[in-house]
Amino acid sequence: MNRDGTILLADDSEDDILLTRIAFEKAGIKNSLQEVHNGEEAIAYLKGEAPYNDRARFPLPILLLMDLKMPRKDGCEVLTWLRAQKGLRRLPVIILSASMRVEDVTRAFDSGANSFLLKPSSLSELVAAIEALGNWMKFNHFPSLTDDA
Amino acid sequence: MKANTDLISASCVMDLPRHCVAFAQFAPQGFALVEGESCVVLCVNSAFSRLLQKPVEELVGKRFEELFADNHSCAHAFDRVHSTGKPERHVEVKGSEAHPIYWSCTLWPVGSKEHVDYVMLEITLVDEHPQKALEMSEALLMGSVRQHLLVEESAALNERLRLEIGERKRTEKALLESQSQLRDFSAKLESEVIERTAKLNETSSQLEAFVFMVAHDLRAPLRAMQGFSTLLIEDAGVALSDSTKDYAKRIVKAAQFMDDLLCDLLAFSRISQQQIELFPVSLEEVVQGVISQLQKTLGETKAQITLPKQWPFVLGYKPILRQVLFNLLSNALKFSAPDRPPRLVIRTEEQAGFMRVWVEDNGIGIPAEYQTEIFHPFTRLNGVQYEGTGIGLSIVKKGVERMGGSVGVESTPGKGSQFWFELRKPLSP
Repeated sequence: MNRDGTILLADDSEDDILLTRIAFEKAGIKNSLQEVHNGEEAIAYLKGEAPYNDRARFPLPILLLMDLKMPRKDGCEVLTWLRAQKGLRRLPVIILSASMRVEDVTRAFDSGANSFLLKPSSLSELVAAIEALGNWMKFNHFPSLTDDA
Repeated sequence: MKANTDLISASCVMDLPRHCVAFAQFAPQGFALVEGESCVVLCVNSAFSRLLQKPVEELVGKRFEELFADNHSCAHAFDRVHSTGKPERHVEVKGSEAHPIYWSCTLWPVGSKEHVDYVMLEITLVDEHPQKALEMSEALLMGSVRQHLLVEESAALNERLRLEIGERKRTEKALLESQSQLRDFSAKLESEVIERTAKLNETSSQLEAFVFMVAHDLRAPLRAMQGFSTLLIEDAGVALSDSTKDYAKRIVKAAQFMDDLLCDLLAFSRISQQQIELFPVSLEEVVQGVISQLQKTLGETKAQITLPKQWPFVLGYKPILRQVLFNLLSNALKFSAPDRPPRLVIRTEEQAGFMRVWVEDNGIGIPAEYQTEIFHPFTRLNGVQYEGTGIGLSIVKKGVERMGGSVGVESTPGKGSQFWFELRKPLSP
């Protein structure tokens, strides 16, 4: 799968989404970013349900960057749903959370997260984290999400 | 028929009615009739003579006391019967102790009620068997009396026993009631303890969840404040005046400080509440980990650290021990004197059952009056030059206490501080 594909941001904080967008820009990562604001929206987007049924506008992401604590369905619930889906279950998911609790880290990985990043408190650190993410993306092989061979 | 003649002659002499004398003549018991006033024996029957082993002639006409020369009690009995008119009976014992002979002697008055004219005497030689029967019957009587007494006594005892059993039963019942009450109380108490412990645990985990939520939710707007004020300075930097730029910088700094504060609060809350288990921990491993974490600061401050040659194991919980040493070492680096680079010494000292770990610096030191206070939360001694939340040493104290140890400090202002903490030594390293 194309590593230049869409990255889906799932976070209930508009501020954090904006800061993340800025950090992507400052890190020089050109991938298009889509955003959802709770767990239910994330599932709807991934399923391609309205209002995300237009795959030209809302393409299937190559990566999900998701907060843990969200209204409706939290990050772990989305992960549990995702990991039970045909094909889609291979979508790489990186948790971006402010939680420092060991229990949350454990729960996230147990639910099928591929990585857990602590939301840095300063913009410069956030930019550094996103730069590292961009470097990782350069070397990562992204799986196909549709072919369930 | 000689005896017969004797009696008849005697009766004639004494002018007694003839049949009176006749009825006693052949009686098997010995009879004698004695005149009341003179005590003279008027007549005897043949059994009397045979029993006394004397011929009738030798007995009749004699005085009564002469008949029983060796027995005064008989003579006294005669006097009493004569004077009172009441009959008497006596049993006399004669012969040897091994072969006793019992004499039964009965005296009764003859005459009118007012005046006793004669006294009749009857003697019988009583076999030992009747005597024994008497004794036995007496013993039986005594026995029956005793039995009666015993029956009465046992009835009384039975009654007392019955009362006591009743009392005992009541006591037992009361005891059983108290026991069941006690059981109820203890069951109630136990369930209350369980309930309250559950409530306490619930409250405790609710509190932890609350603190986490507060810290998490407060940090989100802080990230925005910090992020956007940083962007403001970066993007509009040229257009801003120096003072406006300074305001924006102050917003960044304040947000950063508040974030540190929340992180420390979160750490303090977690260290107070998290479940920990103590294991033997390698002090070297933890210290080296902290040093590599602080590598950047160590380089910037040109600090030197002297480490012990021998590293002990201590009984602790690795994440907390790491936090404790991180806070102590970063404090030692932070509160350094402006005129000299930090010199840090970590050394260990073995105590009875404990291992004391010293973290010494050559920094600004702590005045004696604040050496206890600095371990309390939000205590800051050096507000302007040295930034800090005032929670770092509280975390150290709480953390060491959670691991069953203690902390302290010795310090000379201007020369440096020696912080120490003690943890138990593991039984086998």
